[in-house]
Amino acid sequence: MRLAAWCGRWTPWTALDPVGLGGEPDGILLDITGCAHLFGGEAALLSEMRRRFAGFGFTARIAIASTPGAAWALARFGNEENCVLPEGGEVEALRLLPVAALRLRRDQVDGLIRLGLKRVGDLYGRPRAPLTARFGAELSRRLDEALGAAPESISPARPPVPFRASLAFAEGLTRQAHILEAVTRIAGDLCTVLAQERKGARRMMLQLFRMDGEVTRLRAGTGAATHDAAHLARIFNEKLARLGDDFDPGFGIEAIELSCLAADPLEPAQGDLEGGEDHEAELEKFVDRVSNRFGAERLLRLAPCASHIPERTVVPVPALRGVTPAMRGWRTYMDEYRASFLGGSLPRPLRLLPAPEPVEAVAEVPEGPPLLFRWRRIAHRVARAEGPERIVPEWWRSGGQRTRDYYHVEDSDGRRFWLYRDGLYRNDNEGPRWFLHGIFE
Amino acid sequence: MDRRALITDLKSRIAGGGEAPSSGVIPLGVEAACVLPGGGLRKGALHEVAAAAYRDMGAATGFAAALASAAMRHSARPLLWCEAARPPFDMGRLYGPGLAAFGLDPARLVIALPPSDTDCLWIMEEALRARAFAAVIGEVDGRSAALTLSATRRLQLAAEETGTPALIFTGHGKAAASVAVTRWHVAAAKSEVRAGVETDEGLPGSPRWYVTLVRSRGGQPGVWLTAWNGEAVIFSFAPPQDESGPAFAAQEHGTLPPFMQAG
Repeated sequence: MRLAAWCGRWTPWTALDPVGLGGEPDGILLDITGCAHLFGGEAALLSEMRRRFAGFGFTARIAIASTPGAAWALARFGNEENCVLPEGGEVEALRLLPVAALRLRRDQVDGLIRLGLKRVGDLYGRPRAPLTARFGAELSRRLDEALGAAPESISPARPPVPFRASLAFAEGLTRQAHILEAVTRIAGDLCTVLAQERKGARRMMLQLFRMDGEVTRLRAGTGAATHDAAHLARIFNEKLARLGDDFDPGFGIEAIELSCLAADPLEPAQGDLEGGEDHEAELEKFVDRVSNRFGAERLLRLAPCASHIPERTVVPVPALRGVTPAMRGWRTYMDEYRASFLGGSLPRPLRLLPAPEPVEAVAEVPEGPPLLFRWRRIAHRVARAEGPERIVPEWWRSGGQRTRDYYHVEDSDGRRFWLYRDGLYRNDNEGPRWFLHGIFE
Repeated sequence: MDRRALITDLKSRIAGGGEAPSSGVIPLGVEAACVLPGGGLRKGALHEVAAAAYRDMGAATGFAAALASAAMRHSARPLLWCEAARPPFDMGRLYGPGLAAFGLDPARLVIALPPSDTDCLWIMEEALRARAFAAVIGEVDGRSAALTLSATRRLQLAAEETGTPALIFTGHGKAAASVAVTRWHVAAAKSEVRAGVETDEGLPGSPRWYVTLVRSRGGQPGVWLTAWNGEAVIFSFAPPQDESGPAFAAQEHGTLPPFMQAG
């Protein structure tokens, strides 16, 4: 699989060969349509491949043909001289090869040999019906696929990419500064193509091919489609810089490739009169950079959520997703919030603890606010209190939550807290427990 | 309306829009305008807010949020708040409904969770240079090794270049040397008793803080009892009514400001 990925240097369409000679996959399929000329033609590409594999100590058997079936057969049974097969030459080239070259099961091959059909050429022009009856439809299909009479597609190891740019180097790059420079250059190439198509990149992948065959992959996303080369280069340069010592160029990076995995149509930006677009665009770039450097979950916006349970009233949303309709809901939230208490106010703390913390509290009357409480080893004497505000658990959720009575209390120094009594008073001796849930300004 | 309320009202009205201080500052009200150079909090500058004690972290959060709201009032841009979420900033995470009740629109808030103090300073500088924010707040412990003099100088330069106010919330206690233009220490104060309540105890009212301007480059230090009106986005600064409140003011300074000595 890693070798198949490494072959991505020649073409994006690489896959593990699903069929092998002994039944197990033993090869790699590359669709080099439209790629060979980049390496000086098919013959040059082939010798380049041989040289590279020899460099790893592999002896590779490689063949190029118009159909995967013919290439499969030639790679395994052909000789090295005629392994680049011109289009239309399949019938002649396969005529003398053994029937095992047709990607058949062992029992099918044995059966054919017992009938005296030893070579692929022996099957040419034979009536299909008796063969199909004896060996199944697979035989005919494999024959047609190899000869180009039936279509066959390679399912690539990775989905094809709509846009990509790559750069290869005669000498491996080892200095980080040089790699960064190269990334900037191919970002420019990619963005030129994107700009021509009026597309903007949303998700990208940078691949760094090391001399020794390792491939480093870096992925990045943007909040809004962009074809700003400087911006894309900066995102990846920061990602690389962030890798720091973890990034090991080995003996050098010999090729890099930047592919755009997802692109959106990009409308020409229209700035408004006050330059409002300007800071929106700057904000998007900032969000892209920070989210890609530290992870999308480290740059957030808040969205209101329809729940009365305090910890569920707000949901953090990665800022990379842009301003969602839910975030615009704060206006409605605030209106409803005011209306829900008949013009009064429902106190809500500025900071909410990730989990309510238990406090020791003493209350004057069972159903009243606390008089004294101790939180994080500090005792607070309650001077003023407001409440209770009863929040009932949502019955459609399981989880054994109890009714909470919230109090907004102020201690003798003016510090203000949001406390609640967990559960209702009952006749048993077990007193209710108190929790501190938030801090007011 | 009694005389005192009338005067406060008039003062806040003047601060609210009647008289525009210079455009490079965030107006904080008349009382603060007297001591701050330019008549308000300088926009293109680095400021520091600290709590007087760990217990006052909530009050300091409130004061920082109030300064941010004042900065956001004359801008369409959002606010960036870099949360540390580790001690001493472990008194909970910013809560949307609470911010809404405070008068800061949560829809205009972007929260960053930098993995370290160094990253926090990096994000702050990027944000300032991006010119995309009305204000940038970062929580960095004042005793952190990352908060060096040169780190604050970088932020100050970035703020100056782009005219974006930067604010470091340094937790509590003494902060390291910094080039910040102002440094504020905040302690909780008893809230205003809400009108229309019969009981002498009363209900918690709108927030008030004892605010000490410990350092002010080109201005004078001062101590105030500050009230915040979130709906109107108005600060009112008043001399403290008694000396019992900000005990830390004297320690920081050595001497008490004139009006406190008189009292």
